[in-house]
Amino acid sequence: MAVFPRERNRWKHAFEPASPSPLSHSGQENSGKDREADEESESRHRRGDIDGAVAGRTMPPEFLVRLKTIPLFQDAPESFHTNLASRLKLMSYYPQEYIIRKGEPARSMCWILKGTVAVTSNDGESVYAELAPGSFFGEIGVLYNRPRTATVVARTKVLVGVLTRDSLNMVLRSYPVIERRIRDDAQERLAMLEKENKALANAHTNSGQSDPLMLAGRYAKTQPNGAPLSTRNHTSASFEGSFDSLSTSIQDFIKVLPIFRNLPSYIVHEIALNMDLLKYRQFEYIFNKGDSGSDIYFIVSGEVEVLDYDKFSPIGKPLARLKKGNYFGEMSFLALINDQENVKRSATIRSVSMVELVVVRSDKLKDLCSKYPFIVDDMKRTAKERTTSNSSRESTIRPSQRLSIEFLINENNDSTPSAPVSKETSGFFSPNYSLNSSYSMSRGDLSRSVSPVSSVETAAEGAGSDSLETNKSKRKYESDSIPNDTLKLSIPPAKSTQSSNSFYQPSPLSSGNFTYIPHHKRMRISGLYAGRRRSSLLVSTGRIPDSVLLKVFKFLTLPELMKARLVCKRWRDILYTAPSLFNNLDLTPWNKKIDDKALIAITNFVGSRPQKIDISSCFHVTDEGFSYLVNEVGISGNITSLKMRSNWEVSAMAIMDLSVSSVGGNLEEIDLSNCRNVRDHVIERLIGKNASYNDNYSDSQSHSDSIGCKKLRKLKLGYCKYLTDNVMHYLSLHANERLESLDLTRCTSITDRGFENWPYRPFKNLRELSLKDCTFLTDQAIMSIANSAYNLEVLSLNFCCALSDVSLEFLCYDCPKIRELDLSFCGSAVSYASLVVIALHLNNLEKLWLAGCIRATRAGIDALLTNSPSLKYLNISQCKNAHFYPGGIPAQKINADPKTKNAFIIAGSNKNVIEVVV
Amino acid sequence: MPEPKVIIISSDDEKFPVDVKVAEKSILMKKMIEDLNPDGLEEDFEIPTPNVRSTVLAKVIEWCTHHKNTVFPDDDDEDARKSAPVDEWDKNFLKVDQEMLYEIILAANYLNIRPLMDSGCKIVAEMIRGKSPEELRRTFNIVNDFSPEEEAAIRRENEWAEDR
Repeated sequence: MAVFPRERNRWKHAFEPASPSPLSHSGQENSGKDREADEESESRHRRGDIDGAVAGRTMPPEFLVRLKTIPLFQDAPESFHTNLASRLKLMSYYPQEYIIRKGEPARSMCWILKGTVAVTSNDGESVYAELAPGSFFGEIGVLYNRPRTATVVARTKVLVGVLTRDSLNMVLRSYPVIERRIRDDAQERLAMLEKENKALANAHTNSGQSDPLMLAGRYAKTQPNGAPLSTRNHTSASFEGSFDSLSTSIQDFIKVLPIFRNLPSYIVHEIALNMDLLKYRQFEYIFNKGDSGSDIYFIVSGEVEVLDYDKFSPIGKPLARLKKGNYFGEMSFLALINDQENVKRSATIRSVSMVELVVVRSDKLKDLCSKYPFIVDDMKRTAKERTTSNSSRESTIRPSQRLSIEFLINENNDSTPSAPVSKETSGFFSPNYSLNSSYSMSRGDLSRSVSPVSSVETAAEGAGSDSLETNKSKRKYESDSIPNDTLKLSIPPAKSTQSSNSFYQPSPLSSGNFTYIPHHKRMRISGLYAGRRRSSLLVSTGRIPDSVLLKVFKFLTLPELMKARLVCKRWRDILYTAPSLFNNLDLTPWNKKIDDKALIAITNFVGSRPQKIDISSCFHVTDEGFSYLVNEVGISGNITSLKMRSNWEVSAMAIMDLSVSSVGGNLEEIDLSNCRNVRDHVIERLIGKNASYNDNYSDSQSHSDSIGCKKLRKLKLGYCKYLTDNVMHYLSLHANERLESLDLTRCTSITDRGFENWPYRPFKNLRELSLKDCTFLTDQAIMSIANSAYNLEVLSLNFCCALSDVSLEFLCYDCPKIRELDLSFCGSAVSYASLVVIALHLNNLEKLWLAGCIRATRAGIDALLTNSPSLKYLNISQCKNAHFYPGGIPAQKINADPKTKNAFIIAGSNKNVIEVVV
Repeated sequence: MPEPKVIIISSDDEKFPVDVKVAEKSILMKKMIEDLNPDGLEEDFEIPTPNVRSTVLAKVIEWCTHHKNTVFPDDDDEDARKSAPVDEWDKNFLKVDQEMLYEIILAANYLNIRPLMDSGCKIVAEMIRGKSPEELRRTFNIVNDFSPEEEAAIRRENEWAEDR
């Protein structure tokens, strides 16, 4: 749930200026709460019964049908739906009962099966939205591990299907493609929401000119396409998890745009993350002719008109109207990529109806265009058509052949008596529910009445028709048959034009926010400096030469360098662009200071240069900062190592961002120790699938190659106590060949069963293995490991108390290459016999820890010291019997330094110097 | 017969005859000598350094001569190299004006004399460390070309690193 607190406050501020006095208000609230609390405790009781009765039973078939109509799940195989449905638990709630409360930890998401619910503020005073059957809520809480950000109350008697986080993950695990989509989707929505929040906060601070109504209009969620499912009012834009915002994800919208149709989905995702959503009421100016700017705008919903001012028509002559799917601003963008400076807009754009626009920053798009030249071609074509149509304005109506442009020009517009936008507007857009609401809202109708909930069937149809083809045909239909209606709309009276001149300053993000230079720009700047280095050797400029600066910068720390960029633009540019800086980003010295904000600032500073990242113990970091870091740095695909020990706030979903091959394709090493949210599916996703190994549930083999870090070979998973045997099994299937190092310190849920499959899938490259504190492992597991990882060199069995000498025998016979062996506190495994076996078979053994092994006697130690050819280090601290021979005969004392507790002994046939710690 | 010398020629054509051992402190010159005289030096060998002025070259040679018997740790471990303190003699040796210092660093870079370059860079880094941007501008004679808004925006991004 993501009704962001800031936004809600704003909302209150704007709409409840005349609310009852705080005192009486809070009084009501309290009594209400008490009552509700009683009710709840009662109902919880009832619910328990219902749970027992209904859970596990098959779902009503109608629900299964509904599940299939959710666009997100449409492509999913049948098995997915049944799988999902079978894991749903049914819960019923009585009217006014709380389903979720703001601030609670999120453990599940809910589908509404019957009845309606209201999304409200914590006190239940303000209703943000109503949700009807088929809607779901709470998924961001689950996916991103955030506490609930709004309260949901049952309106009527409600039946919901509850899917817990674990079962969701369980289901999604088998469907990586759907999972990817859900996550991308949620991420994009979050990004969008945060942008809106920022914009809102900004509008709030300088809101002299913006009246609350306007804001309401801007933040009203118009439903881009598809039919409405629920009734809601203006704040619903910020209500995540609603059916409609999911039904047309941002990505879907981009994909519908003809110009982007052929792009691979990861690029689409990238665009989606980088664009802003803007909303305008009718007759607002989006930009004016002669303004500078080169961003491109895409119309999500609503209609705009293109105006030109000249001496004949000072109030503006409409040149064209653009609708959903069209874009504008391309002319100045084209000018920009032709390297013109001071690009000016060639026409004025004004909204006709309530419009939602998506703005793609020109620099982002420019980057894209260089990769996909057909985008530019499309724009050039559009621009050309528009230019010609503009120049031959005498022609009356020129409906364009091309789908993406529909010119509906009527020269008579000027003379037609202009009616204020009437019902015809909404009639014209009748398939589009949102316009109705925006229309009524623009009239000042802010009543939060609960409208009748529309039936799910229409919703399903609407959602179903959301495909590209139907969109096309719809548009065609509109352009063919509706023009007559459109013409009547005409331009508004001049008065209203003026009254709405408080138009929105595009976005605080677009201007003034210069600090982040996108990386491709940086590269260009760096090119400028590259040529100067040599010449500055001869020319004495009196200032510090760039190449010297660059070398000096390498001796300074990150905070020092971040400060140094304040000196002047030249220093800043060098710091931003030099490819040799920050290849190794180690933030551990400042771990306590690093929070999301800092991490984002640092990411903006270093760009995509880091290859090795160490954010261990930066425990303030949450998904917000982490996702930014991973996606921003990872965009170049250069990350080879990521250490994030004890980043316990970071959610599983955020970590799984790494599994996209364009981000984590070169990742070789990851340290996830003590990341609390790491569960089986995280590791499985990161490892990806072994192309040569087909397992049973890969419904999407074509995608199996695109997911996972294919070069990952070092894994640190210490203290990930939720990891189960399944992960070990998975590793043996998909990573047995490449794994070189594995740390399972205190992974207490892993048992012998996890290693059962290992002997059949040899880990021939596994060199290091730590099973420290894996107290449940027995000889069985060690046997499997010894059999499989026969090239092991470093092994820690510290505190594996359940092992016996049998384990060591297997290790000694099967893993002769062991160099370092930690047997501390493996009391029952270390005996005279096992020490002799070690001495005789582990010829490469250099270091051995026997701390706390009380069965180790001096006889065993002597065997080691005399027979191990390579031994250099032996730790027998806390081995009280190591100083006696069997039978309690005291042995020769080892004279250890009392401070360091170590002694050096020359022993064995090779006369090795062996350090002994007592 | 006296041992053959290496004659280093500066950009302004001044000639500096030095022992092979001194010249070999520069990896560039060492490679050159080895490659062009596979059988060892039999006569004087000239190496032009068209990038280095005579005053700078004199300083560099002074350094090489002083360190001709020093064995520098040949570690590729960047961290160890960076954290090692500057040699006391180097510190005094590099007490020169800024321009000379930069030129020495550049010459050391060109001639591939890493220990000298490291010392030089560390001294400049020392000049930067712990100073406010305003102090840095004064130190390096730089004009602030940021607008107040730009500067404020960067400062906001640096807040996390401020001492709290």
